Amino acid sequence: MKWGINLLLAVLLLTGCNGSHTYTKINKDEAFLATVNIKDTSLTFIDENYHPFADWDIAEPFTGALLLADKDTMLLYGKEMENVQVYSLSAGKRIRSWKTGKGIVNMQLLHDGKSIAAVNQSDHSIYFLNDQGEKQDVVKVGRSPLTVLQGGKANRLYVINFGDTKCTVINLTSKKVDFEFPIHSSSTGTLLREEKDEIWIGGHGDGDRVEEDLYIYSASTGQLKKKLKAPTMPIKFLESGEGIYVLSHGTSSLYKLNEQYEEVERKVVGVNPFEMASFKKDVVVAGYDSDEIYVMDAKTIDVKQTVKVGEGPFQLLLRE
Amino acid sequence: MNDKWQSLTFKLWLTIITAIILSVLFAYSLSQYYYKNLYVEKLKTDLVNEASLLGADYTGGEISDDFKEKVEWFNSKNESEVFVVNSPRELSACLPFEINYDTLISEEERQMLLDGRAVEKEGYEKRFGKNIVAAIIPLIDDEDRLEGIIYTYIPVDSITDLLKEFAAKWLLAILLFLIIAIFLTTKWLKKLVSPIKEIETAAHRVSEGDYDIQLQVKSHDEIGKLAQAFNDMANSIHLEEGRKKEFLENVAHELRTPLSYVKGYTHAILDGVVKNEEEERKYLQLISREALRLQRIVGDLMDLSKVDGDSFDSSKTPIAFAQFIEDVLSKYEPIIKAKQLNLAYELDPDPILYGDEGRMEQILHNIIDNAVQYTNPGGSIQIRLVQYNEECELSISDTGIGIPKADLPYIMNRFYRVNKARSRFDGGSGLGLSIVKKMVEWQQGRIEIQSKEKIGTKVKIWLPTIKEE
Repeated sequence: MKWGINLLLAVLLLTGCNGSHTYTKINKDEAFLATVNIKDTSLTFIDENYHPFADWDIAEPFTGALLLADKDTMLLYGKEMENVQVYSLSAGKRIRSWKTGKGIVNMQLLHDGKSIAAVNQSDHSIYFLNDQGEKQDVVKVGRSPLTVLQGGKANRLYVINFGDTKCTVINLTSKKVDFEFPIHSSSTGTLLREEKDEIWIGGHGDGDRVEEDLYIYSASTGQLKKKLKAPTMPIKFLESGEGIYVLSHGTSSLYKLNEQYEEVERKVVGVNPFEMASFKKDVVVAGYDSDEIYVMDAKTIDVKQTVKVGEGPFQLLLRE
Repeated sequence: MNDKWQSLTFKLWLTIITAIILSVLFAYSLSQYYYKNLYVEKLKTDLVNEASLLGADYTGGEISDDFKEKVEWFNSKNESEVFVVNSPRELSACLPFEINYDTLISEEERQMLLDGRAVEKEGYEKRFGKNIVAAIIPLIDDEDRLEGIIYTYIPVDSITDLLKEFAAKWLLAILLFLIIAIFLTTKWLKKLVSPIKEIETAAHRVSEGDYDIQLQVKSHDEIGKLAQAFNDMANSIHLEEGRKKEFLENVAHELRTPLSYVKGYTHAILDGVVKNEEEERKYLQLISREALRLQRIVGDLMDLSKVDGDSFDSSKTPIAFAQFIEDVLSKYEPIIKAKQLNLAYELDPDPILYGDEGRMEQILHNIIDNAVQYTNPGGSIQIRLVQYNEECELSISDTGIGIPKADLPYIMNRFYRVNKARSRFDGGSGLGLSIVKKMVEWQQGRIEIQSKEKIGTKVKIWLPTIKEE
């Protein structure tokens, strides 16, 4: 009997420990680049000198992370997760859970720094949450929305519906659908250039067709303005003072374009890369299959350095 | 009905049929095992080898058309289907995005290939709409990119169909085989068990007193031997029963004769047939003699019954045999003298027996009585005692009338007489020698009688002795 009680206590203790698992604390003033590794559900934190300094191994099937305006609160979400988990980087532990239900595949902090757009694929809608995780508005969009992008000028949210052939544009003031325009299916990856009235959309291609092009639509009307060759499967865009970068995972190619949409550089980089970001004037690409990040010179797109991270880096999280 | 389930036939039948069914099942599983483990595994190994050989030609970088053409050429000449795939879509490169497309390889397989391992598959492939055995090897460039794969497969539908057809035919054959096996087994078991049933019936008949029954021994196996043993047993019982009957007849006969004398003479006296006192005395002497005779027969019978029944009342003591014989012989001196016989003896003083004095004396009496009785006046009796290692030999020989050769084997049987006329005057009860034999055997000894008609008889007895301390 006594033995049984001891065992029960031990189990309770262990479970308790698990609930308040503490990870390496991340100083508030430390700039970092973190990879969201979805194969082993971990986060690898890398400092400004590209040295990994922390590894958070999280026992939840999360597929993405979002850093809030305080630069310390981090949200972890995943399609199979019932709750969005809220972590404090400086405390190195989970501090809250937001009950959202399953289906969250993407989260974006809006420009006001308080509202969050959460993309829910289970009911094909966008949830607008406040910074306490409370649902403010829900807007129905097309099938399987995935990518969202906020336009500052017209205060709009562009929703790329991955499983549909349309892009839904939401008026953020009224939280109503402004308009929709047709796009190619299995689209993902966007770049909004409001001053040029352009929205760039990439994709994987439909069925057995492998996407070779990226599409430029009018941001205000949805009119297809241009198609650019970027074989194969362009899924990530990045614009900086140096130019526009296009990442195609099918051929692990990185293209650098100038203002005239001309290809100025082209490199094979990474192994099946899905993610790209600009960090400290460098361009960083995450190789999903090689579990590495590739640090490239923004000008020449030559790989300067590679850093080994957790398994399956799928997203990059920056704090500068 | 219940008997039927408990019968030996049913049990044997069940055992044999179970064994057959188990063997059949075992054979079937074995064939399946061989198909799976030998054929399919070999196929997989061959496919992996084949794909690996082709893959060895891949030199890195983007997969060239030249390489694809080479593989295509090989495919056209080859038995198995071989092709190169480099579409990232087919290679599940778009995971973790949920593309609505059935890719050629799964996420796990992609991971295996990325790790440089070959993938082996077996089963139904939706893409080809058939059952296949396949091997996939990765084409990985220097920077660990999965540029493509070599996919090779062999449809096994034909083999599966063949196996199914085989299984169906096999099942039919098994069914037929089982029916025949059940039929033959039943018949054979019936044949096998029928002698046992015959023995059972015969045993019942024997228990009811029918000893004439003889089973036909058809085989030389255990059952045949059992039947033979049964026959022997029935014969023995029959013989014993006959002997018992004969013995009782003999007893009755032996008792009846003296009783008739007693009865006759008594009546004669009582009826006053006797003429004078002398005659009456003669009659009374005859009655007395017959009464003595009756007493002796009854005494002998009792001894015999005791020896037979192992209830022999005995008190064993060490006996100095030579002295013992001399003492017995001294009692015979008057009779021998009267009958004018020569008695010679040569007795080794060594033998010491451990036996019952009364019984030993009876043995000697019975033999010497016979010797005296059947030796004519002027004849001689010789007695000899010799000690051997652990036993002594006593031989008593006479020059009497001897025993005919034909009678010799039966001389020690109860009531057996050489003189079938059963003269009351020359014979005893007919039990003497059988009693001697029983008593010698009871003392762990043995007896032998040698005889020649008109020359003489020699009785030899061997008895175990004890060593002098």
